[in-house]
Amino acid sequence: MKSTLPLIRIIDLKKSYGTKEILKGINLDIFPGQVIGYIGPNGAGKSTTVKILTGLIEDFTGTVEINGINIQEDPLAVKALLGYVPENAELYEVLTPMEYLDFVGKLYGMEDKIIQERSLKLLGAFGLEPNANNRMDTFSKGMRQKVLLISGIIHNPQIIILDEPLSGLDANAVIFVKELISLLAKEGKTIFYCSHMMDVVEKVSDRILLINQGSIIADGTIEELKSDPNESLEHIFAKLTNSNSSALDASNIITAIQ
Amino acid sequence: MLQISSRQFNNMEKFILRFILLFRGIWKSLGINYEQFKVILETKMILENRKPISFRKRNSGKSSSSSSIIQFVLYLIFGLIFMSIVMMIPDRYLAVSIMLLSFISMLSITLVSDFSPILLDTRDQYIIMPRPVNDKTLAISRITFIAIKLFNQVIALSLPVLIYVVFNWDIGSVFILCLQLILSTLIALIFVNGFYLISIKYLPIQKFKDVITYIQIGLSLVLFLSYYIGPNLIQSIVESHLTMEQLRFLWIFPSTWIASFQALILGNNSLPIIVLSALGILAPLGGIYACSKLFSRGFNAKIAALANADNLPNETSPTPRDNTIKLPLYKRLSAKVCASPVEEAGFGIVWLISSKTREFKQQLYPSLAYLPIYFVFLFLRTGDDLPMAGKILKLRDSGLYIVMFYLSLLTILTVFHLITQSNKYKAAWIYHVTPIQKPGQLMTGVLKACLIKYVLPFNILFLCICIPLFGISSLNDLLLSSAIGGIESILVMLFLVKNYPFSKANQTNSKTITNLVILGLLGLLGYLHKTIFQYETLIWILAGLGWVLFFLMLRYLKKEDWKSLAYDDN
Repeated sequence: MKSTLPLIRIIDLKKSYGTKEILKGINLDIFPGQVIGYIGPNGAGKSTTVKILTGLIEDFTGTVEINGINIQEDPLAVKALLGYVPENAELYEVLTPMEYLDFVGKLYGMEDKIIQERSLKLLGAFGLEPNANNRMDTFSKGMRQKVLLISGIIHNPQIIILDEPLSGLDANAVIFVKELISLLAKEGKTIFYCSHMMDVVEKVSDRILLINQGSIIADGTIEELKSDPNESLEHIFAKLTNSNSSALDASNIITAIQ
Repeated sequence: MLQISSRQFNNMEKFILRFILLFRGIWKSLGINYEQFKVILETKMILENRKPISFRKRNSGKSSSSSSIIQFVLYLIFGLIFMSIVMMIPDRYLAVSIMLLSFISMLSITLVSDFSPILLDTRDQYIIMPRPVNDKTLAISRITFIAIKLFNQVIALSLPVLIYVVFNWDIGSVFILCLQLILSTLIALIFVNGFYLISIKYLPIQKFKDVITYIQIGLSLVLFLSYYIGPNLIQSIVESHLTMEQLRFLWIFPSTWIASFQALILGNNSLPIIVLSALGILAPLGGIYACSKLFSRGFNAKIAALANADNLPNETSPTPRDNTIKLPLYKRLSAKVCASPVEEAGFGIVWLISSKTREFKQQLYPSLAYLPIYFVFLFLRTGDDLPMAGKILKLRDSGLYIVMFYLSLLTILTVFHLITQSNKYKAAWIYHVTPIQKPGQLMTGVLKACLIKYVLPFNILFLCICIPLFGISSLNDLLLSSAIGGIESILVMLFLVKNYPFSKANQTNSKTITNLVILGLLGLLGYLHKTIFQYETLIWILAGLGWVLFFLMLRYLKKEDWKSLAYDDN
């Protein structure tokens, strides 16, 4: 599956807010068709990386190239290659899915007819066809999440960045999305998957990146990361990120409320 | 335990709150958990006072109560109007009855419009309801919170008149007036309660919220109208020395019943006055009894259900419409007037969200509805004594109707101010991850949607009115003013619209001075236009030039980079 040219290349990526350095020099090559599981504790720099990749944050140092295009030089060309489903996703709820997808599709410069066709098909595939023309303010969280997933792939992007895409989805939908991720990867799409749900990351990703305090501290397949075959990703995560003195100890909480 | 610094909310409200919290025993005897009651009220007060500031990004740290002070001043101005009623009308009974009528109407308006959001606040559902707070505590906290806000208003509205009467009336009458104001406040409360109870009983939830919106719009128009009619009315009452006897229709209003106390104290012991006075006492008391029963029973539960209902997933839906049959209007329009998908996206989003968002309508429609009223007044005020035909002739010869065209251009300012704002502003992330080559294209779509939706209809209306009334020669005037409107809107778009549509939290308008300048410019242009309107050829040439300029500027707009639309990372 690996081709010689990386689709996403990140060289010495640094980003600071004031004096606080969030990303401390990240180096990464991601190849077409890879499903990257991007994990890390809160505040590790995950969302900052995602915001840089999606072109939301433009002032950083280092180089980010996507498909050979430098994101700082031509952010629009990069954005056209990406599909993004953000965390805590917000959408204009007074619109219907059809109207919202029409709007998003047009922002990608798509023609009306194609948007209509694809939206209907995708909504059908996600089981939202009966709600295609209902306002989303009556939707459950899972239904909205599905609409966002559709809006992230409607323009058939090469790279799909998913930030906690399963939040609010029921168990069946989770299975469905996991299946979808592997199918998209088979189609040659590159998936950048950020999540705290270790079991899902373990199952869907063929390469796991663990970021902690602005640096990547682990990079490899789940098998490579395991020191013994029975270890789960959750354990690896805890082992690698919980080493500092402020480690969380659940028993402290029990003492506190007693 | 929550610590609250005294500076955190408006002094007046803090004072009222302190006062209310004094009656610990009473609250406890009502079955209320006093500690919870206190903390809920204090927190709500902080939330309310931080409302405007929390929307202002990166400006946090200090809290401001300026908005509540501005509101207080606004109510004081109304209070001054009430005072002038009492000052000017010689018959005290009549004066007080008209003043109380205005007072009750004003309070009812603000109750329905300002307090509905508080009453329908959904956050209580998620934050307070899951905690062990009993229904009564929550219900009473809510009511008390509203009461504090209300009391604040009542003070502002009645302060001027109270100051006036302290110096001019005898002490008994002053005392009675205080009582009357309190009773009137109760009447307003009962009235609004009744409105809620009836509406909730007979209307579906969405409809109910829409009704509140339309009431807000309608009542702000009533205010506007009374601003115009009120002075005339009072003047004619004063000039013709009218008394209560001649205005018996006023007897049907509770304000008159309450006002009757003044007649009693002045020595009028006739039967109607006694009956009316008795009504004035019985009506509020009866109303309170009925409402308190209703409040503690079904009302709160219904309100809670109401607040919740918006978020209930609605899985059962009608069968999907076939999208291929007929394109919706906005799509047909955008296909005709827009050149690229991005432009269509801008057109579509503004068209749809402006039609579907209650808050947007709430803020825009009143300012649109003023226009026809202005028009009617312009018409009525011109040549007071002339017959209809004379009026039309005078309007035509003076070119006064042109003023109307320019007034309609003011809506552009309001529309453009509102389209960047939304409660759902966070959904605007999508603009920043999509490859929009030229934001100018998107914004051109936005502009076209605004013009077609909110400016064109007025121009068509004017066309229909002015051509039959003032002849075909008014056509070039309309063409010129609309060209100027188009140019104005492009300039406003370029220099004042700094955000993508619906991408900003709701804010109070901070560009008052700029708006005043634009207003002045439009006024000047309108005046210049009026002075030259008889030179038909000149107007035709100017209109032609204006339209050419408009289209040229539209082209420029499309190429604009709009650097100010950058992503704000927070």
